[in-house]
Order: sequence, then structure tokens, then C-alpha cells
Amino acid sequence: MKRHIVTLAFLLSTTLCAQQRREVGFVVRLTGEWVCLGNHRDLRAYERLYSGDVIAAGKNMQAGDSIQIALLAPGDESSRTEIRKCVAAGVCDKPYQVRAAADSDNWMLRVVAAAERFVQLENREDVFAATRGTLGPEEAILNGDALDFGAALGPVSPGEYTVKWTRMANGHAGEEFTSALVWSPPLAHLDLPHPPADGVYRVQLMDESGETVGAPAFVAVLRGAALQHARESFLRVQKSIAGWRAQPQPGDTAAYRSLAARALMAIDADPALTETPHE
Amino acid sequence: MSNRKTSHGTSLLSHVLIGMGFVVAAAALMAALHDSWLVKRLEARNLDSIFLLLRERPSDDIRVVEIDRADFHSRFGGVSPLDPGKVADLVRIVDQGGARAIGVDIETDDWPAAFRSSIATRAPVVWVRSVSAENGSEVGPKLGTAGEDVLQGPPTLTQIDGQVGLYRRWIAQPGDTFIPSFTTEILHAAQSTLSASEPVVTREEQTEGERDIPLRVNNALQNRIFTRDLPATPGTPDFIAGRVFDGKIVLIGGGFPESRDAYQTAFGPMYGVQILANIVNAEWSHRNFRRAHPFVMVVTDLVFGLLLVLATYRFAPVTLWRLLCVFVCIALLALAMSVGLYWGFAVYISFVPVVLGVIAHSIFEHVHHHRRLLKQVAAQPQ
Repeated sequence: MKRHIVTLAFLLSTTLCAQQRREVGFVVRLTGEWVCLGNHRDLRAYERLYSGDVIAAGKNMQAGDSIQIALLAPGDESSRTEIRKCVAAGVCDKPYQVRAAADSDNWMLRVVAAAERFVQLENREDVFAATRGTLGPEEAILNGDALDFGAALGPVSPGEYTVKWTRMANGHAGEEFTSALVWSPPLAHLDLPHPPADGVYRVQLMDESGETVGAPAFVAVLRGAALQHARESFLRVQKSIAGWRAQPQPGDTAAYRSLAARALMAIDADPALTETPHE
Repeated sequence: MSNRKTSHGTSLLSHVLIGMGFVVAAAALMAALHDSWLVKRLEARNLDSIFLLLRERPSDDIRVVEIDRADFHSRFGGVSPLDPGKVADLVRIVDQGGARAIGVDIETDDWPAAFRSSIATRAPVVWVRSVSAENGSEVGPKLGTAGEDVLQGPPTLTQIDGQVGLYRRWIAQPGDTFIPSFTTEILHAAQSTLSASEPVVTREEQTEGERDIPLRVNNALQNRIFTRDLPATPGTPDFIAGRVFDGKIVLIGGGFPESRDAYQTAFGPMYGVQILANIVNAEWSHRNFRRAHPFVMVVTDLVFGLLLVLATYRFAPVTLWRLLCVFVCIALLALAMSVGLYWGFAVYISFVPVVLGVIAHSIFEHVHHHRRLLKQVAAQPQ
């Protein structure tokens, strides 16, 4: 009987690093001798790890020896990999049990998250623009107070700028306001004093001395269904402009941009233009 | 059916008739407004809640190789679009890790077609194609030098209320033809490595419309590997021996802000490659779900509505607190029914019309009852 129990215990211990369990990561790199307890398997770089595997320092470990593992479910941003190391000869971190790839939250948190989602009210705003650089409605996206219009700023040098916003109504300049902009290609961080109202804005960059930088851009601020319709309309306009001339001529780019800006204002002024044409 | 009146003075028959009138009217109204922003929003919220509640573990067959912001700067020098040579190396490395099929969610439209095909791999590689949508879904073929369509369709994710919620398996082309979308092509590629098995996505499903994105797991957190944890160059012997991706479907993509590929989802912001991983995960493991047929949905709503109307007769809301309790209980019951059907049968049925109909009926009964009481008080001699 005792022999059977010993045999059973041995079988259980050898399954600690067995292959049937869920794969949860792998060894990225290691120096020194690291083993998987249970079957005392020596670990190697890029060896796969399974939930429940226990990693421990082997014999003759020196100061600075370490092992780094990558987890498939790393959890938060700060714990993407787990590292064990030895601070002195034979003095190493305690054995590490590779955790299972479980969700970081519990059942109650999920219920709360689901309930929150059910009653959550969002007020997302989006922007699309067309002028500098490559034409396209994806040039600028406003998410909360972060406006990403890096593509439109392509030709402008990185740095800190002031953005002058001028509301355009029927082609005429209206209300103005300014905001700070940090242009760190390819991202543009914009500090808006308040969410802009729907409409088309003429956006001009100014440097520290107040000099204008580059050409003005036109940005349309739209929300919800209006954004979707305007986006589709603008895509159609773009496509028409792109197919305007088989052989591009000098000066076409400026003409394209002028047309795109006028189209943007036309779409803003007359929502009927956003209706999908019937075939 | 009993015609006995309760304390609030309404017979069961008239209660049921009026209640079902409200339910039918709500169902008809919701059917008429099915494609409206409001109804889509309500249904999307309902689905999101279910996704969050029933989060599952991802299939062990799927891996995401993500280029996060640190990788973008360290491995790719912070330059976007990514260097083709470095992307090609990454594909080779993943292939050497034993991948079953590889999907590359990195914009390569500007690459010469010959360069993509020159990347020798053992596993089939599927490259994403940019969306040049006409009316939202059609794309023209991308012809190679030999005239063949060298790439598959784009992922074509559709947003509802600023949040991605739908995808297409097939992309319609002029002339009633279809091309597989990115995720479908990956599934076909992975399928082709199996000797015999049931097709994951069949040709018969070409004419299906958009499908809900099955966000049953959160691939923004699970089954992902960062490129910094892979070898710097192909041909590393330990990596080849380790077979980190043995038999896996591997999706490679950008998880850094400069990729401009982030979307809002029920789980919060997610990068395109993570959403695609969710779709592939659900399709590959047959854990997708379907919206019930409209006829089934209407019949179920009516039966459920009848039961609720009968229940509200028994617990007639004569006080404001009872009325509020009825609101909460009906909403929770409807959510529980949706969750149960989704969990047990992978079917989504919206009970929004029932909830609206029964709640409207309860309010009507409440107001009606109070008016009657006021009349009785007014009729009493001073």
C-alpha cells in the first residue's frame, strides 16, 4: 500500500510540468540553470510554460543569473513579463508558480461592469478633416478632448503651436477661439478649452512668435449619424476628385484641396447632400 | 379566464387585452424602427452587457503577436508605416515558431506585390487589405502583376453609436460575386492545414449580411505576445526548437496609437488586431452566436409579454414603489432571459419591446387607477 502511495505521489509531482495543462507563456531568455520542479526539467529559452509550472533556480547559480518569462495573459501593463533572478551565488528568488490565464476580475465585478454598460450614457464626438497632406476623412479624429490630426500636420515641423479655430458659416468667418497644440509626429495633442460645436472650422497653426505656419486646414466637427453620412458623402467627393484627370497636371493638388474644402463646407451647409443617391 | 376584479378595479381579461395591446404596439414600433439609431443603440447595449457578463477564455488555438508602443519604437524605430523588411522578418519568425496560419493586420498596400510573395513561409499567410469602400461594403479587386486578385477583402468592421459591433464574412463585389473578408480568409487558410474537418465558414454563407462581433473574450488582455519577447532575427535555433506557436493561428498587428487602428468596444478601446482575434476565436471554435429569426423573436416576445402581463396583474402596482419594483424586475428578468438564451443556445433575442410594452402598460394602469380613485373621492358627498 505504501508503495502505491509513493508511486501515486511521484506521478502527481511529475505532472507539475506536464503538457496537458493550459499553455500560459514561454521562457524568453535565461542565464544560469533554471528548472521546472516536479520533473526537474532544465528550462531552455523559448520553452513553453503551462499553468501550475513551478520555476526554481538550479544548482551553481551565480549572482546576476536570471530568467524572464512572457505570459499570454499579462494582466496590467506593468506586469507583462515575470523575472526571477539571483542576487548572489546560490541566493536566488523563491520558486515561482506560473499562474493560470484567469480573468483578473471576479463575477461580481463583471455584473457591475455589465450593469454600468447597460445604463452608460456616452457623448463621443468625432471630427474629420481634409486639407493638408493626404486627403481623407480619417485625417482627424476627436475622442473626448484629444484630437488626432497628425496626418494633416505631416509637412509641419514637430513642436508646440497655437491653433486658431475660426467657425465657417456659409463660407464666411465667424466665432474664433484658440487652443494649444503639441505636435509630436505622428501624434498631435490638442488642448481644447471646450468641445467645439458642430460645424466647419478653419484651423490655422501659429508658432511662438505668432507667425502662421503652413496652409490653413478645414476641420468638420460632426456627431453620430451626421458624421457617418458626411463621411460617406466626403468619400464620394474624394473619389470624384481623384478620378478627375487621368494624367495629373501641375497645380492639381492645390485644386483638389480647394475642392475638398468647399465640399466639406457644402456638406455642412446642406445635409441633403449626405443622402445616399439612388441607383 | 376569470373576470373577477382586483382591488384596483380591473378585470383580468381587460388587463390582459390592454397589456397585450401595449406589447404588440411596442413590438410593432420596434420592428418599424429596427434600423433606427435608438433601437440599434438599445440592442447594442444589451449585447455589450451580455458580453461583459459572460466573458470566456479564448481558444488555445489563437495567438496575437502585438506590436505595442515600446515595440514600435524599439523594434521598428518609431517609423510608421512599418519597415517592410522588418515586418517580413517578423512573419518569418512567427512561421518558424510553428504557426498553423498567419494573418498580418498591417497596412501593406504600398508594398510591391512581388515582395509579399517573396516572403517564403511554410504556413499560409493572409495579408490585410485597406478599405476602399463604395457604399460601405464593396471593394474592387486588387490585381497583381499576373492579373490575379492577390489579396482578400478587408475586415470591414462596422460601428454602431461610435462602437464597433458588426463585421462581414464576405465582401460583395459588382456582379453578385463575393470575396472572403480578412478573417474568413484566415479561417480558410487554417482549415487548409487540416486533413478533414467541418468547414468553419462555408461558401453558402456568402450572401449573409453583417454579423455581430462576438466579443466573448477580451483579446486585448489574453493570448497575446509582444514582439520584444520574440527573437530579433529569423533563424534562432532555440526559438525554432521551442515551437512557441505550434499549431496556432497567429495574428500580427499594431497595438500602438500611431497605427491609428484603435476602436471602441464593449470592453473599452481595442486595437483592430485584437478585435479580429475575437472574431477568428469565435468562428474557429464554433462559439459564434446568431440573432433569432424575426418571426421567432416576435413570437417569443409575445409569449414572454403575455406572461409578464399576467404577472403584473397579480402584483398590480398601486403604489409608486411597487411600480418601480416592477420596472426593475422586468428589466432584470428580460436581461436574464437574453443571457440564458445566449449562454445556453448561442442565440440572441432582444426583449426590449416586451420591457417597453409591459412598463408602458404598468404606467397606464397606475395612472388609470389613480384617476378612478380621484373620481371616487370627488363623487363622495362632503
